[in-house]
Amino acid sequence: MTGGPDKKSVEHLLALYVDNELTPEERAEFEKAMNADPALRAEVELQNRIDASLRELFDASNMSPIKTPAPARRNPQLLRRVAAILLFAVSMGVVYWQFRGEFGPSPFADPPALTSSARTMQAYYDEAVAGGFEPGWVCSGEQFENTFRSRFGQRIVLDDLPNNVKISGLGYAKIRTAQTVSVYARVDDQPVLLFVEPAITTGTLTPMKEGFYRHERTMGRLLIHEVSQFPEPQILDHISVVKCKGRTGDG
Amino acid sequence: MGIPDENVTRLGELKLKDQLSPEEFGERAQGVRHTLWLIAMGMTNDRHLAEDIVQETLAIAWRKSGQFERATSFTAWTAAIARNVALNSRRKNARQSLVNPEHLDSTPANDAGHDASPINAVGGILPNQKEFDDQVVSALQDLSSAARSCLLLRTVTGLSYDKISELLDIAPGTAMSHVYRARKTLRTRLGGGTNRLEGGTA
Repeated sequence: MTGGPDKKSVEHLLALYVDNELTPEERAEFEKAMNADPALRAEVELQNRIDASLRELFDASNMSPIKTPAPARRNPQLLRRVAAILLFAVSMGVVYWQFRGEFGPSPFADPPALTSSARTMQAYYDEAVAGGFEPGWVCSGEQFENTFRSRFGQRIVLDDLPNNVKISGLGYAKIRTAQTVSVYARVDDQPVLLFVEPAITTGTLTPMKEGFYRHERTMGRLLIHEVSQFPEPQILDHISVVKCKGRTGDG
Repeated sequence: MGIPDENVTRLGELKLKDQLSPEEFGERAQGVRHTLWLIAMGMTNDRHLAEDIVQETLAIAWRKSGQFERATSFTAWTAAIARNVALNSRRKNARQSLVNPEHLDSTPANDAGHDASPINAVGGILPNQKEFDDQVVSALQDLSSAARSCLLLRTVTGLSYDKISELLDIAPGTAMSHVYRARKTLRTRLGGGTNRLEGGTA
Protein backbone atom coordinates (compact mmCIF):
# COMPACT_ATOMS: atom_id res chain seq x y z
CA MET A 1 0.00 0.00 0.00
CA THR A 2 1.49 3.27 -1.02
CA GLY A 3 -0.68 5.31 1.33
CA GLY A 4 -2.89 8.25 0.62
CA PRO A 5 -1.87 11.86 0.20
CA ASP A 6 -0.75 14.14 3.03
CA LYS A 7 -3.76 14.62 5.25
CA LYS A 8 -2.85 18.18 6.06
CA SER A 9 -2.78 19.47 2.52
CA VAL A 10 -5.60 21.56 1.08
CA GLU A 11 -5.55 19.20 -1.89
CA HIS A 12 -6.31 16.30 0.38
CA LEU A 13 -9.09 18.19 2.15
CA LEU A 14 -10.52 19.03 -1.24
CA ALA A 15 -10.46 15.34 -2.17
CA LEU A 16 -12.23 14.38 1.05
CA TYR A 17 -14.73 17.19 0.54
CA VAL A 18 -15.55 16.04 -2.98
CA ASP A 19 -15.91 12.47 -1.70
CA ASN A 20 -18.16 13.70 1.13
CA GLU A 21 -15.85 12.13 3.67
CA LEU A 22 -15.27 15.11 5.95
CA THR A 23 -16.96 15.26 9.33
CA PRO A 24 -19.67 17.95 9.61
CA GLU A 25 -17.23 20.16 11.54
CA GLU A 26 -14.45 19.69 8.98
CA ARG A 27 -16.89 20.30 6.16
CA ALA A 28 -18.15 23.51 7.73
CA GLU A 29 -14.57 24.67 8.24
CA PHE A 30 -13.68 23.80 4.66
CA GLU A 31 -16.71 25.64 3.30
CA LYS A 32 -15.82 28.64 5.40
CA ALA A 33 -12.32 28.58 3.93
CA MET A 34 -13.83 28.16 0.48
CA ASN A 35 -16.08 31.16 0.92
CA ALA A 36 -13.08 33.24 1.91
CA ASP A 37 -10.82 31.99 -0.84
CA PRO A 38 -12.01 32.39 -4.46
CA ALA A 39 -9.12 30.26 -5.72
CA LEU A 40 -10.15 27.34 -3.55
CA ARG A 41 -13.79 27.79 -4.56
CA ALA A 42 -12.77 27.80 -8.22
CA GLU A 43 -10.85 24.55 -7.75
CA VAL A 44 -13.81 22.89 -6.04
CA GLU A 45 -16.19 24.08 -8.73
CA LEU A 46 -13.80 22.88 -11.43
CA GLN A 47 -13.51 19.49 -9.72
CA ASN A 48 -17.28 19.22 -9.46
CA ARG A 49 -17.61 20.12 -13.11
CA ILE A 50 -15.04 17.53 -14.16
CA ASP A 51 -16.81 14.88 -12.09
CA ALA A 52 -20.17 15.77 -13.61
CA SER A 53 -18.65 15.64 -17.08
CA LEU A 54 -17.12 12.20 -16.43
CA ARG A 55 -20.42 10.89 -15.10
CA GLU A 56 -22.20 12.19 -18.17
CA LEU A 57 -19.60 10.91 -20.64
CA PHE A 58 -19.30 7.46 -19.13
CA ASP A 59 -22.86 6.87 -18.03
CA ALA A 60 -24.13 3.33 -18.66
CA SER A 61 -26.58 4.75 -21.20
CA ASN A 62 -23.63 5.59 -23.44
CA MET A 63 -22.75 1.93 -23.91
CA SER A 64 -23.81 0.27 -27.13
CA PRO A 65 -26.34 -2.55 -26.91
CA ILE A 66 -24.65 -5.88 -26.37
CA LYS A 67 -23.63 -7.82 -29.47
CA THR A 68 -24.34 -11.50 -29.90
CA PRO A 69 -21.20 -13.45 -28.95
CA ALA A 70 -19.62 -15.72 -31.54
CA PRO A 71 -20.97 -19.29 -31.28
CA ALA A 72 -18.93 -21.41 -28.90
CA ARG A 73 -17.53 -24.66 -30.19
CA ARG A 74 -18.15 -26.58 -27.02
CA ASN A 75 -21.77 -25.86 -26.37
CA PRO A 76 -23.38 -23.71 -29.02
CA GLN A 77 -26.89 -24.32 -27.70
CA LEU A 78 -26.09 -22.91 -24.30
CA LEU A 79 -24.26 -19.94 -25.75
CA ARG A 80 -27.17 -19.12 -28.04
CA ARG A 81 -29.43 -19.31 -25.03
CA VAL A 82 -27.35 -16.91 -22.96
CA ALA A 83 -26.96 -14.59 -25.92
CA ALA A 84 -30.74 -14.50 -26.31
CA ILE A 85 -31.10 -13.72 -22.62
CA LEU A 86 -28.52 -10.97 -22.79
CA LEU A 87 -30.15 -9.49 -25.86
CA PHE A 88 -33.50 -9.57 -24.13
CA ALA A 89 -32.02 -7.92 -21.04
CA VAL A 90 -30.39 -5.23 -23.18
CA SER A 91 -33.61 -4.66 -25.11
CA MET A 92 -35.38 -4.16 -21.82
CA GLY A 93 -32.56 -1.83 -20.83
CA VAL A 94 -32.96 0.21 -24.00
CA VAL A 95 -36.70 0.44 -23.41
CA TYR A 96 -36.00 1.42 -19.85
CA TRP A 97 -33.56 4.17 -20.84
CA GLN A 98 -36.02 5.57 -23.31
CA PHE A 99 -38.74 5.76 -20.71
CA ARG A 100 -36.66 5.98 -17.57
CA GLY A 101 -38.44 9.09 -16.45
CA GLU A 102 -41.56 6.95 -16.21
CA PHE A 103 -39.94 4.13 -14.28
CA GLY A 104 -38.03 6.02 -11.61
CA PRO A 105 -34.46 5.49 -10.42
CA SER A 106 -31.89 3.91 -12.73
CA PRO A 107 -30.95 0.30 -12.00
CA PHE A 108 -27.56 0.82 -13.60
CA ALA A 109 -26.22 3.70 -11.61
CA ASP A 110 -25.27 3.13 -8.00
CA PRO A 111 -27.35 5.43 -5.83
CA PRO A 112 -25.23 8.11 -4.21
CA ALA A 113 -24.13 6.81 -0.84
CA LEU A 114 -25.63 8.12 2.34
CA THR A 115 -23.07 9.05 4.91
CA SER A 116 -23.29 8.76 8.63
CA SER A 117 -22.28 12.39 8.90
CA ALA A 118 -25.14 13.57 6.69
CA ARG A 119 -27.44 16.18 8.20
CA THR A 120 -31.19 16.05 7.96
CA MET A 121 -33.05 18.65 5.92
CA GLN A 122 -34.70 19.89 9.08
CA ALA A 123 -31.32 20.34 10.81
CA TYR A 124 -29.93 22.12 7.77
CA TYR A 125 -32.96 24.39 7.63
CA ASP A 126 -32.74 25.19 11.36
CA GLU A 127 -29.02 25.93 11.11
CA ALA A 128 -29.54 28.12 8.06
CA VAL A 129 -32.27 30.14 9.75
CA ALA A 130 -30.27 30.43 12.98
CA GLY A 131 -27.31 31.67 10.93
CA GLY A 132 -29.34 34.49 9.36
CA PHE A 133 -30.40 32.46 6.33
CA GLU A 134 -27.41 33.60 4.30
CA PRO A 135 -26.62 31.42 1.27
CA GLY A 136 -23.10 30.11 0.85
CA TRP A 137 -22.94 31.62 -2.59
CA VAL A 138 -24.84 34.54 -4.06
CA CYS A 139 -24.86 34.03 -7.79
CA SER A 140 -26.13 35.47 -11.02
CA GLY A 141 -28.83 33.79 -13.06
CA GLU A 142 -26.25 32.33 -15.43
CA GLN A 143 -24.13 30.99 -12.59
CA PHE A 144 -27.27 29.51 -11.08
CA GLU A 145 -28.02 27.57 -14.25
CA ASN A 146 -24.37 26.58 -14.73
CA THR A 147 -24.24 25.12 -11.24
CA PHE A 148 -26.96 22.58 -11.93
CA ARG A 149 -25.73 21.88 -15.40
CA SER A 150 -22.20 21.14 -14.21
CA ARG A 151 -23.27 19.12 -11.18
CA PHE A 152 -26.19 17.18 -12.63
CA GLY A 153 -26.10 17.69 -16.39
CA GLN A 154 -29.51 19.32 -16.13
CA ARG A 155 -30.43 22.98 -16.25
CA ILE A 156 -33.00 24.35 -13.84
CA VAL A 157 -35.20 27.12 -15.10
CA LEU A 158 -37.32 29.25 -12.78
CA ASP A 159 -40.46 30.25 -14.65
CA ASP A 160 -42.15 33.54 -13.90
CA LEU A 161 -41.60 33.63 -10.18
CA PRO A 162 -44.30 35.58 -8.33
CA ASN A 163 -43.22 38.89 -6.83
CA ASN A 164 -43.37 37.49 -3.32
CA VAL A 165 -40.66 34.90 -4.11
CA LYS A 166 -37.01 35.93 -3.87
CA ILE A 167 -34.11 33.57 -4.61
CA SER A 168 -31.03 34.67 -2.70
CA GLY A 169 -28.37 32.09 -3.57
CA LEU A 170 -26.99 28.59 -3.26
CA GLY A 171 -25.30 26.42 -0.69
CA TYR A 172 -23.50 23.09 -0.60
CA ALA A 173 -26.00 21.06 1.37
CA LYS A 174 -24.52 17.56 1.16
CA ILE A 175 -27.64 16.34 2.89
CA ARG A 176 -27.93 12.90 1.39
CA THR A 177 -25.29 13.01 -1.32
CA ALA A 178 -22.06 14.87 -1.89
CA GLN A 179 -23.70 16.64 -4.80
CA THR A 180 -26.80 17.97 -3.07
CA VAL A 181 -27.24 21.70 -3.62
CA SER A 182 -29.46 23.93 -1.49
CA VAL A 183 -31.29 26.92 -2.95
CA TYR A 184 -32.05 29.73 -0.52
CA ALA A 185 -35.29 31.55 -1.12
CA ARG A 186 -37.82 33.66 0.71
CA VAL A 187 -41.56 33.64 0.12
CA ASP A 188 -43.33 36.53 1.77
CA ASP A 189 -40.08 36.95 3.70
CA GLN A 190 -40.41 33.43 5.12
CA PRO A 191 -37.33 31.25 4.58
CA VAL A 192 -37.76 28.43 2.07
CA LEU A 193 -35.05 25.95 1.14
CA LEU A 194 -34.89 23.78 -1.95
CA PHE A 195 -32.64 20.72 -1.91
CA VAL A 196 -31.62 19.49 -5.33
CA GLU A 197 -30.17 16.01 -5.63
CA PRO A 198 -29.89 13.25 -8.24
CA ALA A 199 -33.19 11.49 -8.87
CA ILE A 200 -31.51 8.15 -8.17
CA THR A 201 -30.84 9.15 -4.56
CA THR A 202 -32.28 6.63 -2.15
CA GLY A 203 -32.68 6.36 1.59
CA THR A 204 -35.26 7.21 4.20
CA LEU A 205 -35.90 10.87 4.87
CA THR A 206 -36.28 11.97 8.47
CA PRO A 207 -39.76 13.42 9.10
CA MET A 208 -39.99 17.18 9.50
CA LYS A 209 -40.79 18.80 12.85
CA GLU A 210 -44.34 19.85 13.53
CA GLY A 211 -45.18 23.00 11.62
CA PHE A 212 -42.63 22.28 8.88
CA TYR A 213 -43.35 20.72 5.54
CA ARG A 214 -41.34 18.98 2.86
CA HIS A 215 -42.68 18.69 -0.68
CA GLU A 216 -40.84 16.91 -3.45
CA ARG A 217 -40.87 16.63 -7.22
CA THR A 218 -38.84 14.44 -9.55
CA MET A 219 -37.91 16.43 -12.64
CA GLY A 220 -35.78 14.75 -15.27
CA ARG A 221 -32.74 13.43 -13.50
CA LEU A 222 -33.29 15.62 -10.46
CA LEU A 223 -35.18 15.16 -7.22
CA ILE A 224 -36.08 18.51 -5.72
CA HIS A 225 -37.34 18.96 -2.16
CA GLU A 226 -38.91 22.15 -0.88
CA VAL A 227 -38.70 22.68 2.88
CA SER A 228 -40.57 25.47 4.63
CA GLN A 229 -43.37 26.26 7.03
CA PHE A 230 -45.81 26.55 4.15
CA PRO A 231 -48.22 23.59 3.94
CA GLU A 232 -48.26 23.92 0.15
CA PRO A 233 -45.26 24.11 -2.20
CA GLN A 234 -44.45 27.69 -3.10
CA ILE A 235 -41.64 27.34 -5.62
CA LEU A 236 -41.71 23.78 -7.00
CA ASP A 237 -44.51 24.58 -9.40
CA HIS A 238 -42.42 27.34 -10.95
CA ILE A 239 -39.44 25.12 -11.71
CA SER A 240 -38.78 23.35 -14.95
CA VAL A 241 -35.71 21.48 -16.08
CA VAL A 242 -33.92 21.34 -19.41
CA LYS A 243 -31.84 18.31 -20.29
CA CYS A 244 -28.29 19.18 -21.32
CA LYS A 245 -27.27 15.91 -22.95
CA GLY A 246 -26.71 16.23 -26.64
CA ARG A 247 -25.98 19.92 -26.38
CA THR A 248 -23.82 21.27 -29.12
CA GLY A 249 -21.83 23.87 -27.34
CA ASP A 250 -24.59 26.36 -27.07
CA GLY A 251 -24.13 26.44 -23.34
CA MET B 1 -11.51 -47.22 1.18
CA GLY B 2 -12.72 -44.89 -1.56
CA ILE B 3 -15.71 -42.60 -1.56
CA PRO B 4 -18.93 -44.56 -2.10
CA ASP B 5 -20.48 -44.09 -5.51
CA GLU B 6 -23.56 -42.55 -3.92
CA ASN B 7 -21.45 -39.71 -2.48
CA VAL B 8 -19.71 -39.14 -5.78
CA THR B 9 -23.11 -38.74 -7.41
CA ARG B 10 -24.22 -36.32 -4.76
CA LEU B 11 -21.06 -34.25 -5.11
CA GLY B 12 -21.61 -34.17 -8.84
CA GLU B 13 -25.19 -33.04 -8.40
CA LEU B 14 -24.10 -30.42 -5.92
CA LYS B 15 -21.57 -29.06 -8.38
CA LEU B 16 -24.13 -28.90 -11.17
CA LYS B 17 -26.68 -27.20 -8.95
CA ASP B 18 -24.07 -24.68 -7.87
CA GLN B 19 -23.33 -23.54 -11.41
CA LEU B 20 -24.94 -20.37 -12.66
CA SER B 21 -27.97 -20.96 -14.79
CA PRO B 22 -28.07 -19.11 -18.13
CA GLU B 23 -30.75 -16.82 -16.75
CA GLU B 24 -28.72 -16.06 -13.63
CA PHE B 25 -25.58 -15.52 -15.66
CA GLY B 26 -27.43 -13.13 -17.98
CA GLU B 27 -28.75 -11.19 -15.05
CA ARG B 28 -25.36 -10.92 -13.39
CA ALA B 29 -23.65 -10.11 -16.69
CA GLN B 30 -26.04 -7.25 -17.26
CA GLY B 31 -25.30 -5.97 -13.77
CA VAL B 32 -21.52 -5.84 -14.26
CA ARG B 33 -21.35 -4.57 -17.84
CA HIS B 34 -20.97 -0.93 -16.91
CA THR B 35 -18.26 -1.59 -14.33
CA LEU B 36 -16.36 -3.80 -16.77
CA TRP B 37 -16.66 -1.13 -19.43
CA LEU B 38 -15.15 1.47 -17.11
CA ILE B 39 -12.26 -0.84 -16.24
CA ALA B 40 -11.64 -1.59 -19.92
CA MET B 41 -12.05 2.08 -20.79
CA GLY B 42 -9.48 2.95 -18.15
CA MET B 43 -7.03 0.41 -19.50
CA THR B 44 -7.44 1.26 -23.19
CA ASN B 45 -8.78 4.84 -23.23
CA ASP B 46 -10.94 3.77 -26.16
CA ARG B 47 -14.64 3.44 -25.47
CA HIS B 48 -15.41 1.28 -28.50
CA LEU B 49 -12.53 -1.07 -27.88
CA ALA B 50 -13.68 -1.18 -24.26
CA GLU B 51 -17.10 -2.37 -25.37
CA ASP B 52 -15.50 -5.14 -27.42
CA ILE B 53 -13.48 -6.12 -24.36
CA VAL B 54 -16.63 -6.30 -22.24
CA GLN B 55 -18.24 -8.47 -24.88
CA GLU B 56 -15.29 -10.83 -25.01
CA THR B 57 -15.03 -10.88 -21.23
CA LEU B 58 -18.63 -12.00 -20.83
CA ALA B 59 -18.22 -14.65 -23.50
CA ILE B 60 -15.17 -16.02 -21.68
CA ALA B 61 -16.94 -15.76 -18.34
CA TRP B 62 -19.83 -17.79 -19.69
CA ARG B 63 -17.51 -20.47 -21.06
CA LYS B 64 -15.76 -20.63 -17.70
CA SER B 65 -18.83 -20.16 -15.54
CA GLY B 66 -18.32 -23.63 -14.11
CA GLN B 67 -15.20 -22.30 -12.41
CA PHE B 68 -17.04 -19.45 -10.73
CA GLU B 69 -17.62 -19.95 -7.00
CA ARG B 70 -20.80 -18.44 -5.65
CA ALA B 71 -19.16 -17.45 -2.42
CA THR B 72 -16.93 -15.07 -4.35
CA SER B 73 -17.71 -11.81 -6.11
CA PHE B 74 -18.97 -12.17 -9.68
CA THR B 75 -17.89 -8.59 -10.37
CA ALA B 76 -14.33 -9.23 -9.14
CA TRP B 77 -14.17 -12.50 -11.08
CA THR B 78 -15.27 -10.91 -14.35
CA ALA B 79 -13.09 -7.85 -13.67
CA ALA B 80 -10.04 -10.10 -13.52
CA ILE B 81 -11.02 -11.59 -16.87
CA ALA B 82 -11.62 -8.12 -18.32
CA ARG B 83 -8.19 -6.94 -17.18
CA ASN B 84 -6.54 -9.89 -18.91
CA VAL B 85 -8.56 -9.37 -22.08
CA ALA B 86 -7.70 -5.67 -22.07
CA LEU B 87 -4.00 -6.39 -21.53
CA ASN B 88 -4.00 -8.85 -24.43
CA SER B 89 -5.84 -6.34 -26.56
CA ARG B 90 -3.31 -3.65 -25.73
CA ARG B 91 -0.41 -5.93 -26.61
CA LYS B 92 -2.15 -6.93 -29.83
CA ASN B 93 -2.74 -3.33 -30.80
CA ALA B 94 0.68 -2.09 -29.73
CA ARG B 95 2.06 -2.49 -33.21
CA GLN B 96 -0.93 -0.87 -34.82
CA SER B 97 -1.62 2.80 -35.23
CA LEU B 98 -2.26 4.56 -31.94
CA VAL B 99 -5.23 6.38 -33.41
CA ASN B 100 -7.84 4.28 -35.11
CA PRO B 101 -9.94 6.44 -37.43
CA GLU B 102 -13.00 4.50 -36.28
CA HIS B 103 -12.47 5.77 -32.78
CA LEU B 104 -11.88 9.41 -33.50
CA ASP B 105 -15.20 10.40 -32.03
CA SER B 106 -13.91 9.42 -28.60
CA THR B 107 -11.17 12.04 -28.88
CA PRO B 108 -11.45 15.79 -29.37
CA ALA B 109 -12.14 16.94 -32.89
CA ASN B 110 -9.01 19.04 -32.79
CA ASP B 111 -6.45 20.33 -30.37
CA ALA B 112 -7.33 23.97 -30.76
CA GLY B 113 -9.25 24.12 -27.52
CA HIS B 114 -6.77 22.32 -25.32
CA ASP B 115 -5.19 25.42 -23.91
CA ALA B 116 -8.47 27.22 -23.51
CA SER B 117 -9.44 27.11 -19.87
CA PRO B 118 -13.14 26.67 -19.05
CA ILE B 119 -12.50 28.88 -16.01
CA ASN B 120 -12.45 32.59 -16.55
CA ALA B 121 -10.13 35.08 -14.88
CA VAL B 122 -12.30 35.50 -11.83
CA GLY B 123 -12.96 31.81 -11.32
CA GLY B 124 -16.30 31.65 -13.14
CA ILE B 125 -17.07 28.74 -15.40
CA LEU B 126 -17.43 29.42 -19.09
CA PRO B 127 -20.59 28.00 -20.60
CA ASN B 128 -19.37 25.76 -23.43
CA GLN B 129 -20.08 22.35 -21.95
CA LYS B 130 -19.44 20.35 -25.12
CA GLU B 131 -15.99 21.83 -25.46
CA PHE B 132 -15.35 21.17 -21.80
CA ASP B 133 -16.38 17.51 -22.20
CA ASP B 134 -13.99 17.20 -25.13
CA GLN B 135 -11.21 18.59 -23.00
CA VAL B 136 -12.00 16.14 -20.23
CA VAL B 137 -11.76 13.24 -22.69
CA SER B 138 -8.50 14.62 -24.00
CA ALA B 139 -7.09 15.11 -20.51
CA LEU B 140 -7.83 11.49 -19.65
CA GLN B 141 -5.07 10.58 -22.10
CA ASP B 142 -2.57 12.18 -19.74
CA LEU B 143 -3.35 9.62 -17.06
CA SER B 144 -1.88 6.18 -16.60
CA SER B 145 -4.25 3.31 -17.31
CA ALA B 146 -4.44 2.44 -13.62
CA ALA B 147 -5.17 6.03 -12.64
CA ARG B 148 -7.82 6.31 -15.34
CA SER B 149 -9.52 3.10 -14.22
CA CYS B 150 -9.49 4.17 -10.56
CA LEU B 151 -10.80 7.63 -11.40
CA LEU B 152 -13.65 6.37 -13.58
CA LEU B 153 -14.74 3.71 -11.09
CA ARG B 154 -14.66 6.20 -8.23
CA THR B 155 -16.29 9.11 -10.02
CA VAL B 156 -18.79 7.44 -12.31
CA THR B 157 -19.96 4.56 -10.14
CA GLY B 158 -19.01 5.93 -6.71
CA LEU B 159 -17.32 2.68 -5.73
CA SER B 160 -15.38 2.63 -2.46
CA TYR B 161 -11.60 2.46 -2.60
CA ASP B 162 -11.78 -1.02 -1.08
CA LYS B 163 -14.03 -2.20 -3.89
CA ILE B 164 -11.84 -0.55 -6.52
CA SER B 165 -8.79 -2.23 -5.05
CA GLU B 166 -10.59 -5.58 -5.26
CA LEU B 167 -11.58 -5.06 -8.89
CA LEU B 168 -8.18 -3.85 -10.04
CA ASP B 169 -6.11 -6.05 -7.73
CA ILE B 170 -4.25 -3.15 -6.17
CA ALA B 171 -4.01 -1.86 -2.59
CA PRO B 172 -6.78 0.52 -1.41
CA GLY B 173 -4.20 3.21 -0.65
CA THR B 174 -2.85 2.90 -4.17
CA ALA B 175 -6.35 3.30 -5.58
CA MET B 176 -6.82 6.39 -3.42
CA SER B 177 -3.51 7.87 -4.54
CA HIS B 178 -4.36 7.24 -8.18
CA VAL B 179 -7.70 9.04 -7.82
CA TYR B 180 -6.14 11.90 -5.91
CA ARG B 181 -3.37 12.47 -8.46
CA ALA B 182 -5.69 11.95 -11.41
CA ARG B 183 -8.08 14.61 -10.13
CA LYS B 184 -5.21 16.99 -9.59
CA THR B 185 -3.83 16.32 -13.08
CA LEU B 186 -7.22 16.90 -14.69
CA ARG B 187 -7.83 20.10 -12.74
CA THR B 188 -4.41 21.43 -13.68
CA ARG B 189 -4.98 20.56 -17.32
CA LEU B 190 -8.50 21.92 -17.48
CA GLY B 191 -7.68 24.96 -15.39
CA GLY B 192 -5.43 26.24 -18.14
CA GLY B 193 -2.24 24.64 -16.79
CA THR B 194 -2.51 26.30 -13.43
CA ASN B 195 -3.40 24.71 -10.15
CA ARG B 196 -4.83 27.59 -8.17
CA LEU B 197 -4.03 25.92 -4.90
CA GLU B 198 -0.35 25.87 -5.74
CA GLY B 199 -0.17 28.75 -8.13
CA GLY B 200 2.23 26.77 -10.30
CA THR B 201 1.92 25.63 -13.85
CA ALA B 202 1.81 22.13 -15.20
